[in-house]
Amino acid sequence: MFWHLYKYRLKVLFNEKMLFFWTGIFPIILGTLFYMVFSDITEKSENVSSINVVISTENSDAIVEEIVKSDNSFASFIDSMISEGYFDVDYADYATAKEMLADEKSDGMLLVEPTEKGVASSLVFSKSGMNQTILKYIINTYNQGMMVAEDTAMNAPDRLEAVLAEIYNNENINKNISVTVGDMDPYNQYYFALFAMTCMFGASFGMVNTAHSQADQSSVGMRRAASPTKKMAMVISEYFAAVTITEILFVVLLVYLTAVLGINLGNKYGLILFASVMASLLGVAIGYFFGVVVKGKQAFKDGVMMATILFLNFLAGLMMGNMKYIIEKSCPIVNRINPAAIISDCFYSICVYNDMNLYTRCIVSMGIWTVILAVCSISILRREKYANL
Amino acid sequence: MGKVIEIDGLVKRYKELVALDHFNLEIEEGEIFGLLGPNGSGKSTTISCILGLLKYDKGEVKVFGKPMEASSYESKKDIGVVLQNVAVFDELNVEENIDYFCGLYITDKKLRKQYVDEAIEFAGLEEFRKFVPKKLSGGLLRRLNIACGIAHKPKLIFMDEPTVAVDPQSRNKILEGIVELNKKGATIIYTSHYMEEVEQICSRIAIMDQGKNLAIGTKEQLKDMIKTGETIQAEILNLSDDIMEEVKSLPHVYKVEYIDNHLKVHYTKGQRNLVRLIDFFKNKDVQFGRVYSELPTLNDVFLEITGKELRD
Repeated sequence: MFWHLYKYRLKVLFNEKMLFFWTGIFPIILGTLFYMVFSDITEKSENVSSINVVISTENSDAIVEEIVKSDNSFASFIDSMISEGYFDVDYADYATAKEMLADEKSDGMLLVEPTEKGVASSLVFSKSGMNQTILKYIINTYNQGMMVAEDTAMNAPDRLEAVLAEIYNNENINKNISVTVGDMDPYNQYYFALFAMTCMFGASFGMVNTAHSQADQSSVGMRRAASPTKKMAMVISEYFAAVTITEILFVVLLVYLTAVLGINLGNKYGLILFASVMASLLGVAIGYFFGVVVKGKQAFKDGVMMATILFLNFLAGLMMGNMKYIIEKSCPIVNRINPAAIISDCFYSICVYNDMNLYTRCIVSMGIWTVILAVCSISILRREKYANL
Repeated sequence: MGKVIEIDGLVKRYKELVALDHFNLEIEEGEIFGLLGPNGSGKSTTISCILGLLKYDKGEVKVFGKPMEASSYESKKDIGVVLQNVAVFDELNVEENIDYFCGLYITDKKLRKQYVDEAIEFAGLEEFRKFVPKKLSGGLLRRLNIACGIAHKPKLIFMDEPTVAVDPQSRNKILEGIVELNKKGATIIYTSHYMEEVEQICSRIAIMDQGKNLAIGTKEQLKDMIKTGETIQAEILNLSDDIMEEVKSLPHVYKVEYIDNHLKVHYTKGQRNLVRLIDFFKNKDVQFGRVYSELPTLNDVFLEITGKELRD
């Protein structure tokens, strides 16, 4: 009976074309777009002449050069950009810097402010163009590298030295105009976000399964409920079918990114795959949970679930890189319990931190979440009588 | 022949609405039993309660002599369901759909293959084995719906309005199929608001309205329950009021109407009404055209019992 149900559930889910598109094709399209955008920026930035940058400060009375020098890592970064010929730097007061920007004597204004942790920097442009794009890319890359370092300090302090060494590795900066940590290009975070998204979107397959399992949700559910096959047998076989499909789509994405696009995601594929299986189990369980807990029509259920998933992804920084860092500083518990954050952390732990403790913690967290959601869902799903049909 | 279904005092409420009001029913093995009633009369609710899918407030339901619960898996093995809404997977083709649903009952692969082939043949879907549902016409889709419900050769089959939105050709094919299933030994519970279908195939009929079982019996027994024995219509131009009054005084006549040059005479049960009426016209020198007699239909039965048309 298991194989009969499993086989046909695979067929049904494989033919859910809309779901297949969003869970399977859409991440591939996004991955391709990321690849094109990032490689385009990298290639162009390698052939560009120096970018005129005016460094200034808006709120501090201190001398600009002194502010920069107060943060060794930031000063080293600026120096390396100058020595490698990427930046042509002027220091100026705010009014002068604004004037230079307006007169297009400078491509961008880098505002620096002293903080407890060093220097906080932000960019001001008067127009957009290739130099501005590259400047933004370089500063963002630096900031993200520093965030990774801070993250590492919090989550894997024993790796901090190695990470910092990589951040200051000029060879990598020269090559990619980016701060590279271990095997990870900072832009790889977007590919990890795609991984997390694919696994989370497995929820849609779980949702379809619940609709087909409940007599009050579909006529197919009603026919199945009238059959002598036990609900548990149906739920379990179809749950694993949904996980299988999510996992297949994940592997397709992984192969596409690494083998076709040639993106370097490290070499720990065993750990990545195991993490993806756990993430798929969690993703599908989320779909089951929303399918049975949310009351209403299918479109409403889908809407509530997708909105929640997108919100969790937002909190996990999968849409805005800084968000997870902001939450880590203000309310770290959210990152510990947010399934999207747990999934993305798990992938980071393999490819960024190389931290098996964090990896294990994430795997256990995913397992706990999966069990909680699955138990809740099954306890509701296994009921076989309904008040309304 | 034993009782296949026994329902005693079934009450089902949807908040304030009483869907089934102390509903009683007994169905014998080998019957094609018709549940006749307008939309919302409680037919589908009754079926859902019998199948153990719906919680009910009061009463008892037995199938094959045993109380029917959601977990009555042994009883469910011998039950087939053809739902009002087509219940198939859009993603699977005809053969796969039948195999899937048959597989919920029959685990033996070889036997299942045979059953699936037989169901396809029964439903006349041989040429459409590899078609997905959206490629099928409405009639073929209904036939697929039936094939999915009966492929495992159940002893008891519920057919909930299986011919809704079906063309006449497919409808006839479906009705013939139901009779064939019955001849092979299946007891069939057939719900419809099409009285002609119920009258055509059902051996016994229950008339339902507002959750109540208003009358039960063979179609002849049901027709015997009402006052109307016969209605005679005649085409007559300019019928005078005097003649109308005289028609009313004829034996067995209980109601006379004259609308659009048509005289309609309603009789209680009695004999020689047509001959007597024609003789009367001749004697009174009434010029008449076509004259015909109609026996009461189930719609008349329903109309008399409930005071409203079946298709209201």
